[in-house]
Amino acid sequence: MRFRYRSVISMDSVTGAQLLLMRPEIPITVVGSRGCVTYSALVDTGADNVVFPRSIADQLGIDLSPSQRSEAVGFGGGSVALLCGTTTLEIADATSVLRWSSQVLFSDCQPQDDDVILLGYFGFLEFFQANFDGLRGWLELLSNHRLPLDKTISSRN
Amino acid sequence: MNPSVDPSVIEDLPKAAPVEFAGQWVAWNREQTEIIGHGSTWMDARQMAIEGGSPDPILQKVPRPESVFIGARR
Repeated sequence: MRFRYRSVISMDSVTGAQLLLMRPEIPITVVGSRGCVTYSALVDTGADNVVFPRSIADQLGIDLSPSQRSEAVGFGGGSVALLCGTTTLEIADATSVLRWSSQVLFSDCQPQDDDVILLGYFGFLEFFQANFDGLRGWLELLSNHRLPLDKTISSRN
Repeated sequence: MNPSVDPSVIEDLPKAAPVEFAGQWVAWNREQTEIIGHGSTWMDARQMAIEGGSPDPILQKVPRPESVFIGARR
């Protein structure tokens, strides 16, 4: 499956001038008991887990429980409370769809301005061979035998 | 604006959300060519898209240009 990177407006750290960056953000659909919604999510090889904002679980009807890994810590030492839930995830490109169930983490950020969606190792990257083409802005994902497919690998053609 | 990458590559990517939406959630159409909703929460952005006739948008939290994402919260 192939996905285009997303362009985002950023700022040059030295001059302060605006510039465009590319990020490997891909659409991912979260399926809960009360519906499904698609989000743009950052594929992050440095993240241990898949992390969504808690509001997604609350709105889509995903049951949460305390996580054994109760907080996320990033660079600089700030921490975010985490909850755990099992949900169905789906990615799709022009030709195929992959859907699987996975245990993921939900962050309880306050303020919610800090919300991020990360596709890290457990629940996502563990299931794929990933090729990041930073020059051309493409992410290629090839699923491996560990992907616990729920439903389909279907061709859209 | 000075692209940090080949302009021809940038032209082919999904468009960047304008800075006026920095810090907000936006709803893109499925082709990711047009912003069809926005708000302070993803629910607000999605609701605007639905009211505009697009029930299945792609929701993105737009980063603030002055913030560098390095995995840190603060």
